[in-house]
Amino acid sequence: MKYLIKLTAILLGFVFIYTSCIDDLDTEPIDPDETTASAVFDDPGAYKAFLAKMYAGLAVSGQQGPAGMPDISGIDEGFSQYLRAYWEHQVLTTEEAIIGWDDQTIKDFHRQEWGSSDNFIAAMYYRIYYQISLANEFLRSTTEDKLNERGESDQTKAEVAQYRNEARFLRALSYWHALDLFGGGVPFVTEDDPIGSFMPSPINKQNLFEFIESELLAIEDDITAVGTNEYGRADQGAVWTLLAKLYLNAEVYINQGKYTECVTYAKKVIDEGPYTLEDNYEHLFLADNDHLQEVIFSINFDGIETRTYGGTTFIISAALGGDIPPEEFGLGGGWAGTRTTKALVNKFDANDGRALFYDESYGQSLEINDESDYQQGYAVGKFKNVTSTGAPGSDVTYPDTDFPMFRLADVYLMYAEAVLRGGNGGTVGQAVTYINQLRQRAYGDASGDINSGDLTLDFILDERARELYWECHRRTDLIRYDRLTGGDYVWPWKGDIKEGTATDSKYNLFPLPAADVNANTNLEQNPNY
Amino acid sequence: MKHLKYIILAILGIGLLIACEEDFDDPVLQQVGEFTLNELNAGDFEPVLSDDIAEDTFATFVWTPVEYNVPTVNEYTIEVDTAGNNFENAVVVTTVTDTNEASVSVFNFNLALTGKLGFEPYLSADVEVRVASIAGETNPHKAYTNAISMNVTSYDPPFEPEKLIVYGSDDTEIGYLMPVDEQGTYEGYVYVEAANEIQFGDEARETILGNDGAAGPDDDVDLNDDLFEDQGYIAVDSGYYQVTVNTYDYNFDMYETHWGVIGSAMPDGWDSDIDMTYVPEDNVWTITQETADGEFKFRPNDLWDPLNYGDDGADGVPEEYGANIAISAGTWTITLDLSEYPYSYTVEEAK
Amino acid sequence: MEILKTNTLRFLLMVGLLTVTSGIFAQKMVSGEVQDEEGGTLPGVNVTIKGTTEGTITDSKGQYSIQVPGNDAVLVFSFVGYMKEEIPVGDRTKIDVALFPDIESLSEIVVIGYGVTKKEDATGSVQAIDSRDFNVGAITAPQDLLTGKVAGVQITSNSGAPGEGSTIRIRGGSSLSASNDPLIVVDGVPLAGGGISGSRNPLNAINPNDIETFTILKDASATAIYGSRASNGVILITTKKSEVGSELKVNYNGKLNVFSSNKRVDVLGADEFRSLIEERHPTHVDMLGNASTDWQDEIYQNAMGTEHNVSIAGAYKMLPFRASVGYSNNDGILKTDNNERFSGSLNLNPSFLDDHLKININAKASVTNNTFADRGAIGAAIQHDPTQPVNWDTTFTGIPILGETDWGGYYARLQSNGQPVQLATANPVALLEQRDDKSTVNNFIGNAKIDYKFHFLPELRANLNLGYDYSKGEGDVYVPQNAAFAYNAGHGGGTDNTYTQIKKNELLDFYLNYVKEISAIDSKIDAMAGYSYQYFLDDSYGVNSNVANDSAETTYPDNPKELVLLSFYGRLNYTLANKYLLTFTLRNDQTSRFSPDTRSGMFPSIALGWKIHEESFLSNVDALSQLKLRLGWGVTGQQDIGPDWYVYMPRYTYSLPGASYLFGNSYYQTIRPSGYDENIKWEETTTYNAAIDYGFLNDRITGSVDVYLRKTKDLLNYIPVPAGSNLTNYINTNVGDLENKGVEFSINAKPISTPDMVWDVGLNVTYNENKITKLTLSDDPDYLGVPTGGISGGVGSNIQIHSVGQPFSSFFVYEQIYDDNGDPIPGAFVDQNGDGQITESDKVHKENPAPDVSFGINSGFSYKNWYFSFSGRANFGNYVYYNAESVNGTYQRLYRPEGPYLSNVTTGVYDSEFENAYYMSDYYLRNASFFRMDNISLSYKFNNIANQGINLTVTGTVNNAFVITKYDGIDPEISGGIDNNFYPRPTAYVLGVNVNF
Ligand SMILES: [Ca+2]
Ligand SMILES: [Ca+2]
Repeated sequence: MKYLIKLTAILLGFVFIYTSCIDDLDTEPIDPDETTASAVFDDPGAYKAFLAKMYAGLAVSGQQGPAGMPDISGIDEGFSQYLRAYWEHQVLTTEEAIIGWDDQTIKDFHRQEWGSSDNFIAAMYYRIYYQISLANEFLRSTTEDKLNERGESDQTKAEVAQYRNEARFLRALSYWHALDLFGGGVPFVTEDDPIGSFMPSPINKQNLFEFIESELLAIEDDITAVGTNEYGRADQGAVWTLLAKLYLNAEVYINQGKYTECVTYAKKVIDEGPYTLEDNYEHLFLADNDHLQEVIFSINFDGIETRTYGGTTFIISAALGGDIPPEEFGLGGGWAGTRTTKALVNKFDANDGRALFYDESYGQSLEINDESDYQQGYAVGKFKNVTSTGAPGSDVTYPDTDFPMFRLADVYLMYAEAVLRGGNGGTVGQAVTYINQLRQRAYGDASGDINSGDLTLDFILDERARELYWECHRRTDLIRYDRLTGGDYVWPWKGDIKEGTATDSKYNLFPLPAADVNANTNLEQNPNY
Repeated sequence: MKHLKYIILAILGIGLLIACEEDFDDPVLQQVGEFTLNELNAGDFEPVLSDDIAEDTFATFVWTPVEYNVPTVNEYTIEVDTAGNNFENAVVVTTVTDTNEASVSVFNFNLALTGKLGFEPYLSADVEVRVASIAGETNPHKAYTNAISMNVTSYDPPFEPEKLIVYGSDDTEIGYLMPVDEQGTYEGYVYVEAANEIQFGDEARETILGNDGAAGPDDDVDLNDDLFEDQGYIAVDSGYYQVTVNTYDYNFDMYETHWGVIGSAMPDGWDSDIDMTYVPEDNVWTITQETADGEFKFRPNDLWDPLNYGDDGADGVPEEYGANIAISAGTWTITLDLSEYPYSYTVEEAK
Repeated sequence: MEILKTNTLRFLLMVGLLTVTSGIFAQKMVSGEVQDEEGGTLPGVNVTIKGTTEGTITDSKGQYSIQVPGNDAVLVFSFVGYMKEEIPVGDRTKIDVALFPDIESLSEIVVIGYGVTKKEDATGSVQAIDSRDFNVGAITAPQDLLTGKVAGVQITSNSGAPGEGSTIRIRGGSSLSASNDPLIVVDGVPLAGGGISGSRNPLNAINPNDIETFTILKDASATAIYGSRASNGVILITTKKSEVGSELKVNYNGKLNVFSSNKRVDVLGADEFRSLIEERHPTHVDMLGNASTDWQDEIYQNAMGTEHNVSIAGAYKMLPFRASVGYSNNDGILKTDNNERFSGSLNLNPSFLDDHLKININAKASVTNNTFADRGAIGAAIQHDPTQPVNWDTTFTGIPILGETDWGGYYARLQSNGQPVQLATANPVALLEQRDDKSTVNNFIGNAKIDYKFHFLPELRANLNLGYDYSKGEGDVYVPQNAAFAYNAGHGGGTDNTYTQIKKNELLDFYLNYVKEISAIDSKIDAMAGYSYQYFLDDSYGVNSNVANDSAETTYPDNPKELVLLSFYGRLNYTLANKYLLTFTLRNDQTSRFSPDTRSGMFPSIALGWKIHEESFLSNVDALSQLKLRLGWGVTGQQDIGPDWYVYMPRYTYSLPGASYLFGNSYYQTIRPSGYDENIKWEETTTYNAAIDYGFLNDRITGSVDVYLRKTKDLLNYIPVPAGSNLTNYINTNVGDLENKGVEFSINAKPISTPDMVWDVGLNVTYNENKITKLTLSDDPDYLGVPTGGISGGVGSNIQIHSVGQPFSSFFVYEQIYDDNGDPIPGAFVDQNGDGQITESDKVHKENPAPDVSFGINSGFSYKNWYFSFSGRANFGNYVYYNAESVNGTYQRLYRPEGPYLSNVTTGVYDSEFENAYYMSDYYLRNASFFRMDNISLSYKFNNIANQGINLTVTGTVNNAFVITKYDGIDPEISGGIDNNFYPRPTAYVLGVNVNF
């Protein structure tokens, strides 16, 4: 009996220790850089910080610049940056650029040889869904109910309402990229979906198009009026431009021309917006290119505050190498990767000031016999980390240069193309006037002007190359003209042949990453991949 | 102690095992089966090449695809060489992948013959053609078909660059000419800043035309001076020249010009012109002039011949001997830009 | 130090007293001398009277005397590591005995989790290695003692640096993304795992000289008692202790090490390089220098090291104690590399209350000072232009003084503006000499074990273990602003970093053990139940900056975090008729890493043993001295998925500098919601093990054969989740299965055993095969798997992959095609799917870094006072991707436009004739089977010098004596299988002196 008592006492002691320690298992983060979802909005500033993250998702690769706490994994952090991936998809796949590196499958972009296991394609895809997930989470976390629950002030509520419109814009932007790059078979998630283990269902082209359109139309009137938001944030101008871009390509997306709608929204941007062409074309791409009146929506970078190995750091550094003095780019050194092909160079007249190339006098050659040799192919000095007065940016590794994602010149050209493709509400004469404005800026005078007889669709495609090269429009443009794949239009090393050759039309869409097709059994791979 | 030897033997044994352990089998590329190029009979190819049929197909070569013991990726190149030369100077006329036939244009085939093989044009010669399969890069594995022979007559292809560059004596580009017809005529205006020696050529400098005995600029615009490939420089004094070259006929003309405006709108009427000023930085001729309601034209050297410009259709692009250009009373800056074809002029209110 | 000194004096006094007071009353005195197998005296041998608790211990000269009750008495002579001798006294009064080493070390007792067992009663796969079997020579880290000794245990040192850590794999590793490191338990304290900033080796806290035994628990029936942390095996370390009645013993052990650096990557010499540049890059010959520098010779050296260890062991009355101090200081063969360690340990194990209360106190502390050489110099020395000098010298370069003053006197490739070319290969010597990278690591492991045998119920024991494991690493890195390789034109260059990391691990462990023999049913029951609480804190912080402390270049990383593990465990051993054995264990673990719904894991195991040799039908088979069959089954868990300790929880992370975003004219710090899996749970490994332990010829030949199958399910896997379903694309979640199966065989034999001459041989063979059986939720055959094995060359390129149906980390490559001469055809690969393109779908799985078969062999031979031993290992079927060659063995490397700069190439380029790089070619996949002679040692022992009871042993050892391999890289043994800029393992020549008195 005595034993039993003692044993019981010991066992009770056990139970006591156990129960007193069991709460210790509920550990919470003690890192000052981290907080829980339940506590984060105790700070009303968190809403804007979250908004900033949604925009920063386009500019940086994680929570530490230039690298260190990546947003997405499975790929080198620098490669995973949104704009870098987007640039590779939109520019490297065309005559505008070729790359010499041996990084994984990077050369496949220009060769048009990529497959569904391509890590760079996965990076783009997951970046797009990262942005979408962020926006969804923001929308989930800022519902009327949640704001009331937290007792937010009316002023906070009003601000958050604006942020929600911008979140929806950013989501629509990324869904547009998904539609354009991967087609309609992509997974579809909104704020109504949970977080955790489920497999999103694919949407189709028509429904995705309509979703993007309806979202943009829904926020069109509520979002900050055109030209009035803080620099860096989207307003009506960005919404209209995105609508115009969506409509211009509607025939590609849903086999249905929407050129009149394109003209309508291009006109809104031109007529109702405060945008004017920058006097000097080159200034659009320099270290002090913030707050320019031509730019409708930009991704912003800074040598100190917003650092990445993607973004304009990549665009500028990769273009620099060989015998080109790094100071000319405002950098300490270059990465010697990207050049352009003669197919782009030959589109320019001698007097066209937009031809910002480094040629033989810098040791570059026009012909490309070896993709890997940086000095073959003209280098492109369009984006630089020097200011308009020639001074270097705030850092010699991470440029200050912002990336103009939407700018007025593009809208002019969209207007012209939509009119030419039969859109109502605009005139050829007006289109010629807009294009001549671009050309006068390019030539310095009227010598490059065109007349209405010159304004053909082919001319516009070439003019878009001249005006907008390396600005991530080219792949979409070539697809609209059915010239990205196939043999109607070839350029050096298209199809992995020096002279260029025909490629399979399946390359008009990128494959869904094999990793996601595998993780999400609802998905179906794009045709022929 | 004798047992120690077993240990030593054991270690040696392990060492031997390591030394002898087979790596995985390395595939060695070997061509297997037939790889033959089909013979071409008369009628399957163009025996006499000429510029008239330059864009036509010379021949379509068909072969049985190469087979290797291991599947790999290969390119096919069509090679041509002088018959009996064992393809020692083989020239590749085209490269294809993923197919077992390739068409070669008359132009390209001729280019190989007269260019890299150095055939004398317009003489018939025996050539041999074969197909090579190329696997790998930089130092690839090659397999060849049989050679087939043909007798062909080559021609001298016209020299037709996209634009014709005017090179100065130190090979600097001092201007360029643009084609003005489909017959090899190039025209443009070149400003020669100081006395220089010039040549004409393509951008790649593959073909250079010159003539060190040429007369140089004269008073007409007739193509009366001959040009030859790789033959010296043409001496010119400083000046602003209209330059015309025909690359089919290999001749040229240079005509020095000083431009003026003349017409009813001008103070001196149609009698004498008023000189314009050349602005080298902008490559344009310009004048600021008070005018009356009336018309005018551009003419060089105070002469109507051999050249003057009016404007048919009033589109801002001047034509030789074109219609008079209407202008209203006012003070205007008139600019004539002959630096690029098509030429242009502007009339803007003077500031 | 002062305390230690006075204590030592006190102990010495006490020991003196103890020696004087010995019992003298006897019915009959028996005395004699105990010798070891070499005829040397054996002090400290327990001499007891069988069936009683009375006994004594031999003195320093091996002499004993004991009072026995009568002629019927039987004396039992026992000594750790030697076979027990039982000798009837008879009418003798003088009995001299020779003890022979036990071939199976520690035959009597092996340590298992929360207790000990007799070796012969063990049902699990347990292998113990004691100090006499340890590797010898330049041993700086505990695990080096074990290398090659145990079947199924792969220990691969991470590099040739002094004091370097190792990768330890037991039976191939059972996890993919989670840790594959075994659990290491030191004197009952499970260590936290993982390293600490500034440390080369997480086991640095322990001086190898203090280690008494290693016990390796391999199968689940042995490891399951450690439940959640035991999936990859358990290594139990016990440190040396003293015993009641021990005489004071002092041991000094000193070593002098010479490390030779003779391994080089074959690169072009200056003249060869010059002519190649002239041939291939005539327009860049102006970039060549006039010097002729062998950069590898410039960075490597023959290095020296010393080691001193002193230990004192003895007993003061009922307080046995052992104290030791150690000092070691070794230079690396990479210049400027150094590792210096001070260590001390104290062990007290007194008993009270008639041995009912035993207390065991252990404290181990060390201070390690590291100077880290920049290992970037290894790769830089391969690549650097050999025509350039180490230091600016105008007679070589004609370059003006600018360089001399601005860049510390070290040659650097400069731009025309005088600034360094950023991407150019750094001057390897400058990397070493201009970087000052030092750390100090303090380690402490302490524990107090209180074991109480209940007075009212002596069969019941309570054991409380309180442990504390603390480590702190501090260091700073300084590179001056004039270092060309750290130059930054924008914000001033250089590096000025400081860092601190503190790790704490607090343990409370309590169990009750009940042992009862029930003779009525010829049974024995040994039951144990316990509770364990472990708290981990990991806090790191520091400042990373440039020399100017420019705010744009300064960050303040800090990452504190906590983890709690809480467990219940129990074990039942049941023995029937001393023949049939049953072990059942059950452990419940809870981790704070998982959510309350999933954090609890249950890990059972069961094992059966049958001592067949005890059966009557074998009693007359004399040759067979031992035969035991063991069958085991068990489940273990895994939760160690690395740095994220809050994986299940929705969290937000604030942005650090450089990741803000501009709105208007202000930059905003951002917040990011993290991805998470609230359902994340334990990974579980089920192990089946069948084994036979055998002994022949009176155990002159012993060994065992184990066959096992380990299946892991719900792998903690860092994998892509369906896009859009979470807040990032990869999360840690439970998806996938894998299995390992293998055979282990060991044999130990004593072919010669005479008083003058003893020869031991041990051989072990391991075969292991692993395969991923499931990787994702769906079974899409098109899915290739998770790429892994990052290589240098194409940024982000991976050479390995985890794929279903393949071993993990299988190489995933294009099949190179060769020409008739056996030379690779550049760019020609097998088009596996015949689609006329070489794309990702043409890659094939080929080999993997793990050996199929590995061998360990060791042997000792003693003749009188001489002792010769060696041990070696062989691995078969381990493949290495020769990354140093794939990067540097192409002509394309020669001129680098991204600088521009010139880069040297390996002579392998002459074999491949590759113009461009083909990183994914299996040309670089090499069979790296090898045999390595880990050590060869010869010693001579001087006994009883000057009759003062002093024994002196002098030993000469060569470590890493030679390697037989076909592999042409620097070393075939590369953990992970990617050979790039490997720090060569030196050959060490060691002269050691060991003094006992
Ligand atoms: Ca900026
Ligand atoms: Ca293929």
